[in-house]
Amino acid sequence: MNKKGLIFNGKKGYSILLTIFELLVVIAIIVMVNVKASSYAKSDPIAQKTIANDLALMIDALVGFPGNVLVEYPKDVSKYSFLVSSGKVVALNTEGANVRKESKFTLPDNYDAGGDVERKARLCVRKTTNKIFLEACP
Amino acid sequence: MNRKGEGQESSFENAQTIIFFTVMMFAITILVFTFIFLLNSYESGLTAVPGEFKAEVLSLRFINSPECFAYQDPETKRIFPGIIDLNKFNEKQMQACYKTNEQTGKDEMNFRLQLESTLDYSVKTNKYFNADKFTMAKSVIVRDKDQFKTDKLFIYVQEGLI
Repeated sequence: MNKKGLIFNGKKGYSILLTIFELLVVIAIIVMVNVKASSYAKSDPIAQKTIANDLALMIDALVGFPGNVLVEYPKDVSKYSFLVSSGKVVALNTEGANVRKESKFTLPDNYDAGGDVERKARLCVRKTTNKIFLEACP
Repeated sequence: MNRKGEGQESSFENAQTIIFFTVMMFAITILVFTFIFLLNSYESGLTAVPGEFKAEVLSLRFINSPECFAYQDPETKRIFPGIIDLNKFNEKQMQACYKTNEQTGKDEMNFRLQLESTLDYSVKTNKYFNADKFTMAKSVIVRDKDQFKTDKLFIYVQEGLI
């Protein structure tokens, strides 16, 4: 009997090979799930989406306030850059994976929204008559 | 004879392995796509804004903004939040106040507004198709020809249809 060919030849050899393959697949899946789970635990894309949603809701809410308003977003947002244009707030994380999250808002006809802020810790939304502007807090 | 038999067995096992690997590759691909789909839906679930909250925020404008139905004194330009000007309570004003996209508007939130005193009349946003998800009620004051009276505003909310 040739001992060298024991693993890869014959029925037993195939069965061992398949078992090794199955184990590798299971290990790969476990690693993949763990990597993704740890990235979600850090929750960066989720926090980014939440901030974009919050800002869109702030703009929607400001439409419902007569007069001029200046509101500060109550969180450090220095990790992200923001852009407001054509009915949506875009939150960008330019570090690493360049993740982009956006959220929509709806303005009345004669309203205008705009502004961009790049990596500032304090973010404000200013409403003056019919203009809503995203800016770094004064 | 023996050699022939071994050769046949080997071909059979090779074919079996190819089938196994093909099935496994197919299964793994499905698994990966399912995993990505689950993660995306998990993220959507975590970041979703409750419809009632969004409707509450959006509906602030109906009674507080002069671009919607809030009364604004024509001389002093003072705005009276919470007071609905009956002259403005029409479809044209609603289109100026809240208009969703013509193509994708049915996926967004749409509204129908109705006053308790005039239940046979209501104003709707451009993509409202009577598919109400929930209703909100707000106590308001209605200004009708220099007369002020208390009333109730019913806001019927239609969330994204797709």
